[in-house]
Amino acid sequence: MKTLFIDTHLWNICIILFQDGKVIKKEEIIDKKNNSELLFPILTKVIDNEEYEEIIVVNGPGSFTGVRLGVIIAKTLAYTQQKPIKVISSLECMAISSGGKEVAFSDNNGYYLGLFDDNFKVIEYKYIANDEIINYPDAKVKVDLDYEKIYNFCLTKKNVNPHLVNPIYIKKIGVEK
Amino acid sequence: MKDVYILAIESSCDETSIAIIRNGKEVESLSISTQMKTHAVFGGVVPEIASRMHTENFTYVLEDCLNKSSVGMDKIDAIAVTYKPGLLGSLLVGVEFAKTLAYVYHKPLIKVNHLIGHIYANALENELKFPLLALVVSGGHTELVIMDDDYSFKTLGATMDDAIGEAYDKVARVLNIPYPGGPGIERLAATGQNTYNLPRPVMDETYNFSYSGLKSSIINLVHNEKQRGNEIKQADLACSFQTVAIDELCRKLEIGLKNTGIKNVIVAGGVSANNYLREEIKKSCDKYEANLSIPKLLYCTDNAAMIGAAAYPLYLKGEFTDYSLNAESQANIC
Repeated sequence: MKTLFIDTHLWNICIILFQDGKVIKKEEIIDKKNNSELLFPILTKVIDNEEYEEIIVVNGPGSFTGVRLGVIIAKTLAYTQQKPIKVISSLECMAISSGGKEVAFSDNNGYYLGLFDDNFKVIEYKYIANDEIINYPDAKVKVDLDYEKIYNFCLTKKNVNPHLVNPIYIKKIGVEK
Repeated sequence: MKDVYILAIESSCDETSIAIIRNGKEVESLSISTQMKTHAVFGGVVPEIASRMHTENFTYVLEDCLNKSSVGMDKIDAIAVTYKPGLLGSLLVGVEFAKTLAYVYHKPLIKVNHLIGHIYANALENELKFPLLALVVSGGHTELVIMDDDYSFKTLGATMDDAIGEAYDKVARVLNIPYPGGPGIERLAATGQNTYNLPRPVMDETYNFSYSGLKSSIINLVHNEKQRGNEIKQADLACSFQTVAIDELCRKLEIGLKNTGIKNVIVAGGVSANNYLREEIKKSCDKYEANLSIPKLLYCTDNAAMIGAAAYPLYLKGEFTDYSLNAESQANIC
């Protein structure tokens, strides 16, 4: 079975095609700011002439616009092609890959922090100021993502109605404060 | 000739809209999900919230649009999408949504300028007769344009500072009229008299517009009256503002009609929903025996039907775009 995986939660974009849990195609964009020009063309490189049975999308937190573009594409593919879709958070991806129960990544202004229990169930997500990260000395902040572990973790997840696939933002915007 | 069906997508501001248009003029189906009530709480459109709501709404709006129509995706000839100008984050959601539909259903993709969309809203009702003078009046633009043919634009003049819609919004804020300010001022003005002696914007024979002086004079007037402890006659001030703002549009349009001899006029953009504007522009056109077209109210505000109408000439010319299409926040008509 083939699975399309879309991760656009930061300026690094990753599109993968899995076959039975193994990565068979992978396209990445590293540190480019013109993601809206580049995203769909690299997606087509991965899925042209391929049949996939399900979609997994990373629905944030991270770059608001980045997450949105991955999510709108993934949910529209799932809705129009009537394919099952699952979501996984960027922080879950880091925890699963590293085995860490506390993970965090910086967006320069602060850190997105994820706290997990022993089964990698989410205890809490929050956005903290840069100087608060010292309160989480065990938090893993540099994680190389292990996509096959991420895939296996997603096997335990339930499908989501494509209409209801939406980003999680965590960080408050001006009018919410 | 075979009928052409275009599925059009609009998300440049706070409306998520999808339409199916036949031959650039017949509206087969139109769905609009407006976010106005959400943004009203904040006194104006919050761009980040607008982008979020487009992401939440698009698949629902597509479902609604297809359910309302007998035309299925198999009959659609092209996907059209607004890519400029507007709120960048909101445009991007629409652009990526459109690319996905074009890819899944193997349809060509057409990029449409939102302002040109407002102009082609007129084609949904009457065939455009060229040459014509187009008066574009919106929150971001105030422009008088000559069109000799489809997609042939020559700007006669434009605002040198604020757009007319922007002036309406700012005056509404000074008068504590809730968002959206334009319709609020219009309602208030209808109950008042033109008693305040406000400065006329640009008393010359050029096609230039200016609304920032008029706006500032109202801000100063309200401030001074408050300091003196005088009451502002809100309805009279709204009426005085509206009279000056729209008389200026009419005066410039009449200069255009006189100098060019053109006998067809169309009005485009959100401010064309204003009834006083509709009546006064009609009088100006009658004076010069020119035909006037103004879209019905539904097509004056943002909607995808007008994007489908504007995409049709591009479809006929085969002007398609690829998956590297990006959105742009700023743009002019030409």
